[in-house]
Amino acid sequence: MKDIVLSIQGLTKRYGSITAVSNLDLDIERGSVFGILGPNGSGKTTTLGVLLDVTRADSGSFSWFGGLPEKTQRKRIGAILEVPLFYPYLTGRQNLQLVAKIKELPGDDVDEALKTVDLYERKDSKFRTYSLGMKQRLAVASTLIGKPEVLILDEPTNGLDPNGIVEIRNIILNVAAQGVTIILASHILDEVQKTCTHVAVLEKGKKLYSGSVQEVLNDAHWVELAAENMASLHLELKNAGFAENIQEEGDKYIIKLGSAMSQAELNRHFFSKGIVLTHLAHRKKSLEKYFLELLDKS
Amino acid sequence: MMKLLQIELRKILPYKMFWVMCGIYLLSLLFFSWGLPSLIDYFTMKSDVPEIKLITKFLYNFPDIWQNLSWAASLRFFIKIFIGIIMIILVTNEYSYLTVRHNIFNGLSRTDFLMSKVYVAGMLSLAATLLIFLTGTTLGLFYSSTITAHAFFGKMIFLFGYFIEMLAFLLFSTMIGILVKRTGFAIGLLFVYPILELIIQQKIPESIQPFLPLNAINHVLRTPNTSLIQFRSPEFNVELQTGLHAQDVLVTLLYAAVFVFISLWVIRKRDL
Repeated sequence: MKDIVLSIQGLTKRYGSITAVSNLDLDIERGSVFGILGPNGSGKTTTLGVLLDVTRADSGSFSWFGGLPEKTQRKRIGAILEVPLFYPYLTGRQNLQLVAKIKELPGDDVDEALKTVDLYERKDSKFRTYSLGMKQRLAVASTLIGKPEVLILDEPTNGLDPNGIVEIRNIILNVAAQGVTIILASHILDEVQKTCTHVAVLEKGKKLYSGSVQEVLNDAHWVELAAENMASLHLELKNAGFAENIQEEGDKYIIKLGSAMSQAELNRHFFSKGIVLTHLAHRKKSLEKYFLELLDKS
Repeated sequence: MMKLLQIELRKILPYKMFWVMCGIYLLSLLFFSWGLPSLIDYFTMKSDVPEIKLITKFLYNFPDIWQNLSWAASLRFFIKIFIGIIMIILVTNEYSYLTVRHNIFNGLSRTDFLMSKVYVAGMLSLAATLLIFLTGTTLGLFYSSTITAHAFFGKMIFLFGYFIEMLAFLLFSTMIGILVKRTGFAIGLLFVYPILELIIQQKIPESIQPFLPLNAINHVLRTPNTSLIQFRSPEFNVELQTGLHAQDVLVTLLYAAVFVFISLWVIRKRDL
């Protein structure tokens, strides 16, 4: 039995004539890093808003932790929604202490959270004096208070410089390694590819795909091959019949298999024909390519 | 309740704007309460009516001072409006900073969120009442001709009336803040609505007039009173209030409940 942290059924939200989220079903397992991927305006933030009770859904339902009362649920969740939301006249530290108070926590880990995001030095400066990157980092810090079971991060690297992006990504991976479930909304494919274990692709409020990132990336049907004798390799590829499509790319062949074959099977086959392979690899499809394919189809 | 109040205090106490507004209120309260006798003196120097000269003597007499001070401080177009503005800012800030979302997704329920503002309204009303008490005490000790415990505590029920009026007014301000969301518009409405109500009043039957929201919540403290005016009242033909009426208090509290209910309904229904 899988441990489902969040289950969404038939969620729909309309803004006038626009359907922002359309009949969305989603199950998120405990411990996964779940990416919600989609272009701007695909319904990511709306979906997260509904999950956090900031936005009211028109129909459908969702349940956290198998259906706890709503207030208790959200105290076990750390969240960033779209932009960092804090009181501009309070200091970074005061803001985090307020978050702790709302969550009914002692707030003894506020300083630690500030150190984690490298804001400890500026803890007593008012939030309004922070740069965009610092604001974003404070938002990440606020999600860490009280060690929540689930983190909801909506575009957490928005407005950060490349260094900041890497830092935040490392924080996310660290937290994920401690078994925290993370729901990460992003329009940046690279971010999802580098941090997530599972992904759902949204477009215009509809779910186009949902599954593990590995499944998407490892498409066993594309293989790269090279041999000492390229001519005999080419000949054998033509004769063997398992290659649907053969392309030459630089010093190797890219073939598309009719049905999936493991590397061992392929290697054994060519060796038995007296062909020694110098290169054999399943081609990793980038998430980007997959994403664009999905969007094309829709 | 204490938890929600503590959360609100964390938001309010470090907020400079709040203290500036409180300062403005305090100054205007002191200005009118201490300045009024001098103002009356100034005018009475030119007046020949002996009764007016006596007003200063009676205005701040214990126990009438409680009624007079509370009545003046709760006039709808007077200094009370500053506290209404403070309340509106505290509510609309949550919308302009979008911190209402922050409060909700960190674990407050929508009802919690509204109740925390209701407690703030209660706290501000209490503070305002305390301020009137302190002002009244010092003014009375300075001006009153009779200073006895009996005179001091008599009519103190009017402070309770002031508290009720203030609470209803601040809950009204809270409702405006939640309905309008934008600080500027909400404050504008706080100024425009009383005028609007005066216009509406002209167009409806006299029997309903007292039940318009602001009329109703300004009816607990109806008139000032001094022994002098009371003495002259048959001639002036003005009926002066000598105590609070249970019905006024109930209607005001009912209105306060309606304001809270409307705010709650809106906040629960709307996207934040």
